[in-house]
Amino acid sequence: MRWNESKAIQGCAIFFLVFAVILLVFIIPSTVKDVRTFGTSPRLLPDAVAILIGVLAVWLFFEGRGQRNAKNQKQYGFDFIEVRLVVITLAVVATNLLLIEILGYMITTGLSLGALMWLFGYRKTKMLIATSVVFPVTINYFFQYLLRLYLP
Amino acid sequence: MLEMLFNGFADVISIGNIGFLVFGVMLGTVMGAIPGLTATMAIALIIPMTFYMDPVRSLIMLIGAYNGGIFGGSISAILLSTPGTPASAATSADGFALAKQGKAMKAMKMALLASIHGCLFSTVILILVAAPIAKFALKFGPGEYTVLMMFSLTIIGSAAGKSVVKGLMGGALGLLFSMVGLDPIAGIPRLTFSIPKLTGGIDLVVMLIGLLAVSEIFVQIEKIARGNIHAHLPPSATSADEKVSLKEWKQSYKTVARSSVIGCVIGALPALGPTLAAYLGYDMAKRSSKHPEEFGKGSLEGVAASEAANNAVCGANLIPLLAFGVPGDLVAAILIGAFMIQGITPGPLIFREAPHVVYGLYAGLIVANIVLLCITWFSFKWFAKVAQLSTTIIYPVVIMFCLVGVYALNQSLSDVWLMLFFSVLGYFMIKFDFTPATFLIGFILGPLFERNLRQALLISQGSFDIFFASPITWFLWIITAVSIFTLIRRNYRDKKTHKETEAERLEF
Repeated sequence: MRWNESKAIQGCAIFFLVFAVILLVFIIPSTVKDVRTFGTSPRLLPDAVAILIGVLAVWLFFEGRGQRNAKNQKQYGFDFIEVRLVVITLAVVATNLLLIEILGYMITTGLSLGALMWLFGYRKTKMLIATSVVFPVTINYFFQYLLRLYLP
Repeated sequence: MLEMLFNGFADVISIGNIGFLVFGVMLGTVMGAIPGLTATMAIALIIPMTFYMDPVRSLIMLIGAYNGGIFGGSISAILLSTPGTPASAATSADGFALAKQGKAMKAMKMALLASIHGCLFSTVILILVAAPIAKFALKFGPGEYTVLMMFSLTIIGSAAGKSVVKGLMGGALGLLFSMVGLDPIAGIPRLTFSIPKLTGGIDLVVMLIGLLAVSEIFVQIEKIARGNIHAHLPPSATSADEKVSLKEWKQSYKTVARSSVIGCVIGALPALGPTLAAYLGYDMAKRSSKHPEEFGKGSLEGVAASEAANNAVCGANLIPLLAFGVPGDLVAAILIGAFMIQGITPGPLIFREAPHVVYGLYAGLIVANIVLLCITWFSFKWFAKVAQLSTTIIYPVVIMFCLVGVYALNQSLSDVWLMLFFSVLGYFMIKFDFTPATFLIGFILGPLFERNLRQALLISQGSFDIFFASPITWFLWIITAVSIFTLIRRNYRDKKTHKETEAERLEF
């Protein structure tokens, strides 16, 4: 999935413009009470920033549009194989967080570390196992006994 | 005063005191180097140990930890592009770029020398002019702070890179996210979506680690997916890449000196902190450099500027503490606790009631820098060796460090989830060439700007005259205007040069 620079910038601009409108019309009014007892309103800066984002989005759109005929535009986008590994990494980390309070820090971290090293292509099994064991044990000791911070 | 200072050195230089100072520096450096753990945490951990110590020993150990912690953040910033502390975020772009060129040792040594210069400079200022500077700092009210923040916001333009509008957009997003939490004046929740965790706001370290560190790792993971597996950093090509030559130091000295002054000024003003000082120092260095295009791509001056400025805050933020008993930042607030444990109240009377403690602190600051220099200069080789491990080992380990470091802040898994959110946000920002650093600047300055703006408007009952009421505000407006003008001019010149280069290339 690739876009040239001009299209990518215009796409981002439209995204931010829609975001600014949603902020102004929906998010800020529903999450920030307009309390006027103390002079300035709590909505002053959120509204100002939302308007700023909208103005910058328009500027960005025209900047992108101005580049539509430029030659040798940079390509923006996502390559399936690259993004797949990033998504898998995120999934491993998220699973680590979901299981950490059930299995404990040392087990989940050891497994996650080993899994990530394997996924990234590290194949020296002994070193992989050693790192997966030594790292969480060392960190747990450091935090628990030296810093008195208890990990799950 | 000199006699008192010599007595201070005599107090500090004993085997026991030096031993505790070394411990403080080492603990601070290690904790500063681990992403998520901060210098503030190192100091907070040492405080209970100080109950049974004499005042000078306890304070110099704390100062050693603070110094070490602020510097330690630059080690991971340079070697891993993962700032260990927020104050080192400005160092990571140029520091890591230098490390990728095989100049990691050079970058770390320059960071160390600049840090020590900054801290020693601010210590001298502290010793000589604490009281007059504190009086000047008291003249800063909400109006002055607001205009100062407006000037500081112009550094977003400088940090923006090629596209100023993308940089401003990043800064605006940072401002938006900084407003999550309780309103600073009315105390009501804002943008929290009824999530209790968000009522306390978003922790800077959580955001920083996710946005700058983990997101960068995700981008690097893409290279691994393409089969690009290599040592994380290349070894030094020549012995010159492992040293800072006298010529390089001389070339950077003006930057270091200027950044030290900036750090001192920022440190003397309460509530601003070393992160802002680092970015301001970096920005000033870039604007006045003969080669601004090198900043962000491996400029030694860039590393020197941010490190000198952030460490110059160490001594300077004791100025309001000692002169008025007003803590300049969180670290100074913790130091007040340390003083009170010893039965000493910081403030103007401390110079009369406990001068040996004050001058012991001054001497401790100076000796702490010497200890930091000795310990870290000889351990750089080991740090650099670690960084030469393969990326397939380094990145998983760094991710795990980030997770545990963020968890350790508040012992909350919600912080870790929040960090992951910011890492995804940062990943998309990098992919579309939005500079995450501008988000960070907006995030840091947002609360300071809003609180002071609204306090000023409350005091003036809605009148904007308060922002033009004193010579200080006028001076700040002038430098803000100059800053915006130089930004626009530089942007115009860069675009013109780019168009001319493109036209020449097409002709050819």
